[in-house]
Amino acid sequence: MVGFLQHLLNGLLIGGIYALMGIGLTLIFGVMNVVNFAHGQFYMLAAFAVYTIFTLTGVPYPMALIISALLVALLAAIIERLLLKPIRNEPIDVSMLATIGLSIFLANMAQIIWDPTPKDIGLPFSLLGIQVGPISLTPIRVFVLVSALLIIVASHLFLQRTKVGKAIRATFQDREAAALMGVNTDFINTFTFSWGAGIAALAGGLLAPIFQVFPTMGAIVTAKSFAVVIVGGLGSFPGAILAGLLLGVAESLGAAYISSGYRDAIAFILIIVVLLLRPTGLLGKEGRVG
Amino acid sequence: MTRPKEPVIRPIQYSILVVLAAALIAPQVVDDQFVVRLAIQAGVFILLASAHNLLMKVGLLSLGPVAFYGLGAYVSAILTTRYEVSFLPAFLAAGIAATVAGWIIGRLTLRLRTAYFVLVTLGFAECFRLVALNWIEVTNGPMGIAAIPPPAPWFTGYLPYYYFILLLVALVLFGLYCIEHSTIGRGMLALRENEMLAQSVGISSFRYMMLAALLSSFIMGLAGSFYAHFFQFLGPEILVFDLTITIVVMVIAGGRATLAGPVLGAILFTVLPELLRTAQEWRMAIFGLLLMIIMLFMPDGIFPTLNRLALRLIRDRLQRRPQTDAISTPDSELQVLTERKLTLNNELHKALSGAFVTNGSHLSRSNHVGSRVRLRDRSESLLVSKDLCVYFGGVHAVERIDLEVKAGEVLAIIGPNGAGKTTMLNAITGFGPITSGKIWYQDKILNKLQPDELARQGIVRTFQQTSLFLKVSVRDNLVLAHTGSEQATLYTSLFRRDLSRQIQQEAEVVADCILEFIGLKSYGALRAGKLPYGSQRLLELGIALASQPQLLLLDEPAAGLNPAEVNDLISLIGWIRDEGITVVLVEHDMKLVMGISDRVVVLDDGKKIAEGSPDEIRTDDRVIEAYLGKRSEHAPNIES
Repeated sequence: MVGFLQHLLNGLLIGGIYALMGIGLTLIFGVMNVVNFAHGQFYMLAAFAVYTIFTLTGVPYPMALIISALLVALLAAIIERLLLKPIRNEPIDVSMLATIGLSIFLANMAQIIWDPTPKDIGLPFSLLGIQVGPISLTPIRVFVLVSALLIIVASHLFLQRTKVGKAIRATFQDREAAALMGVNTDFINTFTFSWGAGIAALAGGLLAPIFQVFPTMGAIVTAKSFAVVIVGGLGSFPGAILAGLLLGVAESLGAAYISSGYRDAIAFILIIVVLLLRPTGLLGKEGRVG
Repeated sequence: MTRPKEPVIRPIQYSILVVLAAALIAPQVVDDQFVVRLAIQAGVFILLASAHNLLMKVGLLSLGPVAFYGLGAYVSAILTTRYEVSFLPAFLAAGIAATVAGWIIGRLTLRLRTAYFVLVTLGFAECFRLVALNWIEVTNGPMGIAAIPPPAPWFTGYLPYYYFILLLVALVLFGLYCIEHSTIGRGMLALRENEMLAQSVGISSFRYMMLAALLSSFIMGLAGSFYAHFFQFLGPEILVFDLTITIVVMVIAGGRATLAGPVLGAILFTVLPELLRTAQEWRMAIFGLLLMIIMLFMPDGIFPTLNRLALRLIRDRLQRRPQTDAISTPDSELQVLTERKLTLNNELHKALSGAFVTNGSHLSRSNHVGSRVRLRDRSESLLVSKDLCVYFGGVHAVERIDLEVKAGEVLAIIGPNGAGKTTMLNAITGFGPITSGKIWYQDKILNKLQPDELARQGIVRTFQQTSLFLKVSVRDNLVLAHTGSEQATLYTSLFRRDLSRQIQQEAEVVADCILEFIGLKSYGALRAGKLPYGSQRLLELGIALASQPQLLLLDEPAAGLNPAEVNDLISLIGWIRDEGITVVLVEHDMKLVMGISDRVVVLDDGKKIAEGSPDEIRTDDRVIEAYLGKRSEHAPNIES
């Protein structure tokens, strides 16, 4: 039972990160109709940025985290303007291939800059576990869980309460109508892409001290984020959160009790099952089947 | 874009022969093992990219090609190493196994579109990889299968493999060429350009997409088997996502949905990484950058861009000479359109009645249309609905409607906005749901049929929002629309090219007649997207006619037309009726409705409130009330 709770908690931790990846990706898809294959690369870049800033300058970890996320968000905004804006009216596979190119480029640039050997950041907090009943938690894990939760809540409030958030939701629902109502959809696109990348960067920076940092770490995360977005329903914000947590827990329990070899298959099996039984995803509304 | 129209095929055929001859001699001249090996690799990639491109031809992007490639490789490798099956049966078994997998996955996924389809195919491919990695008893897991025998003992060195893959590539490309220039190729093009419109003229998306999926997976299975016996070692790496990316890049960067694009892409992206080897660790970064640049500046792909450039060059050279057959300006064109006097000549009549049939053969739907219907009793009912209801949640869009359409008449359905007219039309043509009630068409129940099945029964519709094959010429729009009524099989496409050509010529004759009928003859070569709006609406009507309907349902054909164009439309609908085609008209334009209809049905709030001749409707109190509102006794009298 203790083992089960421990696995559940680990699952929630990874799930929180998946949820962060998912909400950015789902918004980018919903607003821009772009399937961003480079999403995991922003996650990877942020992990490296945290590693560099934290180990080189000795800035406190939370500070390094925020700086990295801002840097990545800025980079993403530039990329959106240079790469995605010119091909906005092309079919979806053009932007898909462009982001695939971007993904290859970023991963290999990271390999050149930081070389392929995995890096350890070293724990920014004490190693001492906190005992909660029979479960032990390290402070960094508590920090990750709480941060993920805070970022999700903040994103939600941002979307619901602020003017930009409302403009994003309007563009999401109907780009043309939003443009007619005076929403600057070009700005909204850039902002959404940059913001989605920023959240992915926070996710990468949060996990960096727990796992190793290496240039190819983004690819599998991209794939998992797709699973989260599909299972939650393309474009659904709450769906991405629910699906992220679900996937994290399913992987953790699946690896523990079924087979660790198929751990990564769970995401893809979830994609297939959900799309076959409920093509709009768990919380998706609009049918997009032919 | 679709097919060569002028007799320029000859130089192309010659150049193909030259390329083939060069490919045959090349390894004798270039005595470099490395180059030959690279050529073999390029050959495998040409197969993979061309096969993957088949799905792009129907407008689907799959991220799971490696699943079929890998499956073929594993089937062939396991059969030959473990069960000592000889190469040829194993080779075929690989193709068949991949096809079966393609069929199963196709059944499950072909109803999905865009990003959903993309990601579910990615999911399948990854599952295949993880099975190959973890099902150690069968696949030997990460250790892989070693010592796979060559296809035959005399396969020593690279040369036999080279000629084998060359043969395979030539056969596959020739097959794909035949398909592209057949009914199947046209059906695929129609689906890619506008799936909804294609369905409405009788082109089955499922049928063509499944066909594309089966052919594609078959070719990939064969390629996989070849790879296994060439490399003689097989591990789960064959299923990695990177390989999928490589294939997709070849197809899209080369030029999707063209025949030459993927071939060019495959060669380019096999050679390019080798050339970039000197860049060492920068190799893949440069590759990614190149990919972005290609997508930015050539989103269609390299081949179509080069093609366009070459055409422009030729045209520039030609333009120095004064043009003789200049395309007339839209202004004079409109004049021709409005002033034209149309004579329904014999040929045209035959086109509309589907009489252009190869000596009464099975190839075209000859017995359905036109002349036969004309012989039917006018009072006979063609389409009947009983208690038809369509609910969207709590909204009763169509409520218990009984409708009768008599053979040969023009029936107008009118009503205020939101009365349920289009919902009704959608229900009849299979584009929308039916909650309850039944629809009969010549004593057959229609309820469960798909739009394309209904179109092949002779029930064809047009759309409220202009719907065309925008990127195709006006004439080709009509040729494509004819596809649904052609009954060519894969066998015809591949092995009866004479018949294929004949079918195409018939379609072109029909297209030309309809072009004349709708008055767009001089626009034939223009891209449909460049037509003026009024002419686009006429072309829509032509598209519906080209699919040889018995019952034509028009959804607000006059929307947005100017009075002169409405007059044209009125005479056109009159001629269509004279051809024996029954017309159902959903319309707001009262001039059109009153000028042409034999009967009028009025809907309001989902219910039928009146039915009768135009004169009866004009004076019906309930109709006036529905349109103008009830006069309230308490309200101030506006008229006074």
